[in-house]
Amino acid sequence: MTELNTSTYPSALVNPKSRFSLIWIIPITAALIGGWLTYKYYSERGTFITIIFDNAAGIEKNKTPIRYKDVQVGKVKKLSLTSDLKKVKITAEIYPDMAENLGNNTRFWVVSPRITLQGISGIETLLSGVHIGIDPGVKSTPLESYQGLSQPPLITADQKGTRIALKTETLGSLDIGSPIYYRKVNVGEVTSYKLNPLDGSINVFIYVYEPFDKKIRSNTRFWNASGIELNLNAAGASVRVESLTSLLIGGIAFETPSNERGYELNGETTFLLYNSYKLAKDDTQRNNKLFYIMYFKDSLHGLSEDSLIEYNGVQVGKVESIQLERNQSNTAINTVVKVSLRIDKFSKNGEKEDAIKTLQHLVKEGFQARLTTDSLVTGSQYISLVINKDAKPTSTPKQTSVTPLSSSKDSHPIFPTTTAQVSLLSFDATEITQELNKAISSVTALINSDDIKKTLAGLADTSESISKITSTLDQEGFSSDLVDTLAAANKTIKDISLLIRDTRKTMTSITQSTNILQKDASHTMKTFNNLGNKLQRDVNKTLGSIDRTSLTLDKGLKATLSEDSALQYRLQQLMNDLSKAARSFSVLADTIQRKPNSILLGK
Amino acid sequence: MSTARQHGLIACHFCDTLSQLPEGVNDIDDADLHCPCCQSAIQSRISKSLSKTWALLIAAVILYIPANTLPIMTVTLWGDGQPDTIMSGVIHLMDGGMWPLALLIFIASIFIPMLKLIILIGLMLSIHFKSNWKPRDRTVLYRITEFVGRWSMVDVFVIGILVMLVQFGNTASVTPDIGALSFASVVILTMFSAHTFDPRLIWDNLTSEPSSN
Repeated sequence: MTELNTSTYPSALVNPKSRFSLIWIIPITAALIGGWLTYKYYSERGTFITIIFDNAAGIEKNKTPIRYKDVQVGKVKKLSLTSDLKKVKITAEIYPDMAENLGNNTRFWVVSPRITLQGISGIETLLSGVHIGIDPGVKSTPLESYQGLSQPPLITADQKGTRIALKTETLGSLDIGSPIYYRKVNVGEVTSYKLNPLDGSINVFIYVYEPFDKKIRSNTRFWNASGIELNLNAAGASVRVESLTSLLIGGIAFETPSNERGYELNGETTFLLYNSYKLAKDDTQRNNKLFYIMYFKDSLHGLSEDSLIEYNGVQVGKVESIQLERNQSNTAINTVVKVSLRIDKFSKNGEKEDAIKTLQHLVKEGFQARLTTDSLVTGSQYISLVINKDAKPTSTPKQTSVTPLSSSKDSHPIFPTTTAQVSLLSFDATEITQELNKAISSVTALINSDDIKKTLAGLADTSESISKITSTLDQEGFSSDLVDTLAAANKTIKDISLLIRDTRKTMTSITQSTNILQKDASHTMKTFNNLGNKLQRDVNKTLGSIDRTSLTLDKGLKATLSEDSALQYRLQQLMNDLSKAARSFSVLADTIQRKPNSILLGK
Repeated sequence: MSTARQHGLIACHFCDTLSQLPEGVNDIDDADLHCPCCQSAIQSRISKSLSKTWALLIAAVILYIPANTLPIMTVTLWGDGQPDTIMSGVIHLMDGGMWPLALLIFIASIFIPMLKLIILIGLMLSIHFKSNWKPRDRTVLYRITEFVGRWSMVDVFVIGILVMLVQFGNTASVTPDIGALSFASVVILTMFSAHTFDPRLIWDNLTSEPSSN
């Protein structure tokens, strides 16, 4: 180690300073940031739940979001199969905001593009991939595991309304999602249906949104509004269609009669679903009816279940059933007509006892039922109630025991009847039917005639040749053959005009020969003058009409084929249009040849 | 072997002038010294080197956690995107068969910052415990750390360029996330901590117990 001569170096300068070291602010800040991030992570960490789906179509791990009203509220974290390999188990993280609102009736479903008759939904998922939809439902204790729905629920928790059960015989064209109409306004949907295993009826569950559900009262009538309802009766024909949608996918409509008392619903109520508007309107509740039995001596041809019972044109009831019954004393068989009369028509305030009293009084006065022909065309009958002053008031409605051939065990009072009036109008309607048949067959013959077939064949030929022209144009490029085609077209026009000239010539000769024929005929007529004036007049008339006909024909043909006729003009126009089209095609072809990408990108 | 400080001398890093340490200064490291020749600031040892380095190092270690666990960016393609952390990005690239790129990003973004932190902590501890272990190798390690540090910024630059270029709304867009910020902070903090670390301290410890080296 050598000794340095330190005294030779100059002394360094000293600037006194005293500063607090701020360097430790950096790690403190970092720690604060780190702590904040950690807090954020834990506070945003959601609840993990399991959803079971039938399949995992399009669902991806760590990617598929769970969305509520298009806001992401969770994410799929894990995808696995259940142990029996039948379902897919999805572990999903639900963010804290939504996790608070989960309940035991929370529903999950996969949102994917769906095209139904009601509309198209989920289009946005075509690009972004599927997501899982959530309906949180009512807030309650959340479950660990949920069952995923195979399709979106029709009714979500934020849609308020009332669920109603309807009972029907057949489902018809109703389906889940079929609309519910109130005065033709769509106010709800069919949510589900199930077959009742006990009586084979079908329960249809519908959901009516607020505020329309307030319109449903205990006396509301529901009817199946699917398709077209066509009514033909004495009053004429009427067609009723609820809406175009219901024509396609079915629908249910309801109405609350304003003149009847009804009560507000409480709890889930089951209503009857009528098959048509008419039935819904006509039918009253069973306890609004009085049942009677009628024995008729006349033929019941044309009387059916649901046939009307009228008094002076007012509908007061309907036929419930028609049965055969063996008389107790002998072996003769009677017809039994079970009818129902509406209480509200016989009593002001709709009380049963009151109505029975009124009816008993009326029967004493000579109130009787009579079969009446309704429509001459269909031969249908209805029962009219008449007051027959001569009738002796023997059989007041009273309880009798009957032994029906059918299984029905109902017993009802007997209503007095009288024989039908022999009416001039009660002739057989088959004549009219035959006339109709004839008319229909002649129309069929016309349709099947050769002329029509020929015309159709000609049309087919024309269209074929047009397609041939089109294909030629397609195959051979436009520009090269265009001139040829146009030349040919010109030639065709010339040919057509030649043809027209020929036709006109032919027509003149036809006229001439007709004239000759006419002359000859008048000559012959003179010869046979003595055969009688009447005959002569007739022949004259006939000839006149032939002459007129030929003239008309001539005129018509001239009008059709002359140079300034509409047909000619249209042909000319067609040719013009064709040449125009060909020209623009050639322009297009040129453009494509020069710039093939212009198909995609434009000029 | 002895250091300049032991002889009361100080060297200027710019003009290499060797000057005498002034007399009568209490804390020589904290004093504002200037080269008598070129007037540039000179230091015998970086002032409070250890505490500064520790502070920056601790901050870097803290931020290293969010830098790797939080997403650095979100790539949205056709309205569909998900945030990626550095590691998930590397895994994506590997899945896509882009091994060299995956390796590059792994080395630049995960391996090197990690290595830097470990080396710096190791050096600091060795000084703290006055270790005599291979001072020359430790100095080499320090030089490597200082040199390689800036390359970790590659990742941050890539994100910056992507965010700038790829902005097509829903069709394709790249947005940076909080992880990128943390990562950039880690890189900058480690660079600074490497800068505040004074390798001369490695040699100071040896003087008390000179080794054969």
